[in-house]
Amino acid sequence: MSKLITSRKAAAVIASLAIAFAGISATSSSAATAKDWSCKPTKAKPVTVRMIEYFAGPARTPLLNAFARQYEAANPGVKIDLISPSQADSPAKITQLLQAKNIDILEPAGAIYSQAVVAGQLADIAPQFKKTKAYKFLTPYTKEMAEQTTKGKIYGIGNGYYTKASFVRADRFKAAGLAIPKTWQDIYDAKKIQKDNEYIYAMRGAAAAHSQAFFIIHAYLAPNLNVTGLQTKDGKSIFSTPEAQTAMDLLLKIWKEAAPAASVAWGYPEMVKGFHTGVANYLIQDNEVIQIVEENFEPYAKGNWTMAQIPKGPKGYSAQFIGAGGLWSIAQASKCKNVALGFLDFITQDPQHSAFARAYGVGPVTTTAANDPFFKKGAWSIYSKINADPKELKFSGVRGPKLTACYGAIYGQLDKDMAKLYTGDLTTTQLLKGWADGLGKADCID
Amino acid sequence: MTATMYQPSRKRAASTTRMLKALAFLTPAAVMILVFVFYPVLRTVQLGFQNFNLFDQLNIGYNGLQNFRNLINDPNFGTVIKNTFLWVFVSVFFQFTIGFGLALLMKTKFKFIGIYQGLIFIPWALSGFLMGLVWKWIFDESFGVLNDALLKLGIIDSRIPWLSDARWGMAAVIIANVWYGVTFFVIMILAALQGVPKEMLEAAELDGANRFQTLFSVIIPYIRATLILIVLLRIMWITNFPDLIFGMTQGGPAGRTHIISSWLIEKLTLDADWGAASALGLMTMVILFVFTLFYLMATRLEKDSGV
Repeated sequence: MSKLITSRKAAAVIASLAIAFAGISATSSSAATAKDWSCKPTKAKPVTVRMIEYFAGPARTPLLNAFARQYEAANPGVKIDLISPSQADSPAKITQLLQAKNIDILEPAGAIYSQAVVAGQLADIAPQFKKTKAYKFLTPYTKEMAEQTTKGKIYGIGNGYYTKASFVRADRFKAAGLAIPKTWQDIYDAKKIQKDNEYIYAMRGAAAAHSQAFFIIHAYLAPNLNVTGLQTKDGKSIFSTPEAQTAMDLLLKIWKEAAPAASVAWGYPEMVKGFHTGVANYLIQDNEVIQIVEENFEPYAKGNWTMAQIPKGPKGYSAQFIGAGGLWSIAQASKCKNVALGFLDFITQDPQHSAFARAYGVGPVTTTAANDPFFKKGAWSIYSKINADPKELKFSGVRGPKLTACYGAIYGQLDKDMAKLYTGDLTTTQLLKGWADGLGKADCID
Repeated sequence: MTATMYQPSRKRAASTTRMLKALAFLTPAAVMILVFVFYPVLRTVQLGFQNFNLFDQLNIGYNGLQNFRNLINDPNFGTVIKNTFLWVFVSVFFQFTIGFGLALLMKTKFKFIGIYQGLIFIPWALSGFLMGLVWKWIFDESFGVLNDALLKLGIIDSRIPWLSDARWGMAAVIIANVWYGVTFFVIMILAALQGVPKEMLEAAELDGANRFQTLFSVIIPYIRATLILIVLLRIMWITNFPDLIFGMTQGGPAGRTHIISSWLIEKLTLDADWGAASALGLMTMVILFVFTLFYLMATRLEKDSGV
């Protein structure tokens, strides 16, 4: 299960890519003073740890608050102050708090991670974290992810894995006598069963819209992809290939003809709602959506919705970036890093982490939770299938500093380009050229 | 002699005490204004001339007029200016016209006028952003009540993508803004109407003026100064009112419903480009300064005319 790690809302890809920056950052642990790691909170002299989450939501925020109260009760003098902005506000709020040096623990997803590491705003916690109880029970892959290309430095502790899979309204396809789509072309062809306010594809047009383009381009190019996931095997940018052009032309047709027009403004919550309300019958999303669909539509066991692998291309392949969906980091400016790490140690241990993974529906990072049968049956069983499928390629989200910098610089523009594509302000050719210039150039690849 | 020498000294002391008291009362307000108004303005001016992007923190520094050049050369700039113009003037026109009509109706006494007044004033008491979310739901293509109602009434035969089609998007946000801002005009115009002397209206009636003539020849000229002031005030406020747009479309699709102030928020939050956002803020200040000049000129003209 732990190997199924995938980027979440595409923003998570950046977070993972950015780990690579650890290797070149010269500002982290060397700047951390012994004083920052030796706070001794007491009732008389309490210490407040300010913590901000990126993916706040009803399934995880109350749980984190409960952990905070438990930890405070067990550690007199420690106060955990959890800040939970809406996901739309998270990037700005987190960057502002980092800039103001007014935060201890953060969940730096999206482009924040890379920029924060480059700016020396995150602490290297490797020496202290490796001595914790939590570290001992992390899955080998989580440990590997934490340190891969970081030359022994650790800037974040994974808090859950996300894998992209397809959520499909099986009842609707069955009623129309149509098989569940297996390819992107199938999705387009299924438009014939659309009815008023019942579309096929839950397109993402707002934040992280570019992830949709990546899925289809990868599916059309695979297996001709090198380890970067952004180049073909001969080192050519994936965005400057004829396959990418074909893929994007098809995606635009799907968007215009097989998805609701409103999806141009759909981000994560809207596309999930679009699925469980029946407006869209095919949704590509992360594992935590299982719980949302079960709560808002009906239990998986009833059989009216099912899970499938993400759609494949003409050669029968698909691909996903692999990376930790969320992670906790400690700010370099934190004055009591040992207290902050103490709390992270606590929530990364079981049973806390196991409860978090179950409640929020993310892939577990600890060995105990990973062996929990809960994550191997029902809707979750699709992830074993994905994991075992050699034709669903998994790219490491961990990239070198050059690509991280390019990605960080262009990240916001990618989504704006997708919206312009929909409104006709950009053609697919222009979009691909821009992306090839921004992400595909030689000095972006490590 | 002693008394005469003592008296000015006591007066001076009393005057000093009064001055100190006044200072003591004024200081908190002055400090608040300095901290929350002047400092942010000065900081905005500074940031407007800096490359200050939170995602590019290693390259923060002065960059002259580059932020302004970037904004003007941005492909969205023309659309943003055009949208701002539409947003302000179309909204104000309808807010004023409907507001005036409602104020005239509310001046007439009828049954349940209190309830009616209460309902009219509700929008003004609500948050603009919150109302934006409510209107977003109303206009939603799939889940919205508007499309449902229009379909059931047979007015349309397919759903209108109100917020995702650039052609409809601007109309939708302006409709919401008209609804939101009518109340302001009702309140202000009603207050002005209540100030029109009954004698003037009676005199007009005795002179044989009909309602139309009374309105345009007596009432409007009498409250003209108020009307000019509230229209200009509203123009300034609406220019700086991104709440509804941010709640409804966030400026989308593809920036097609951005006005200058919502674009500023996008620069600040999504792009984390504080330099560009500050430059945009400064440009807005200049635009509003021009309106302020009109505002001052208008009030001066009214004063001079002795109305």
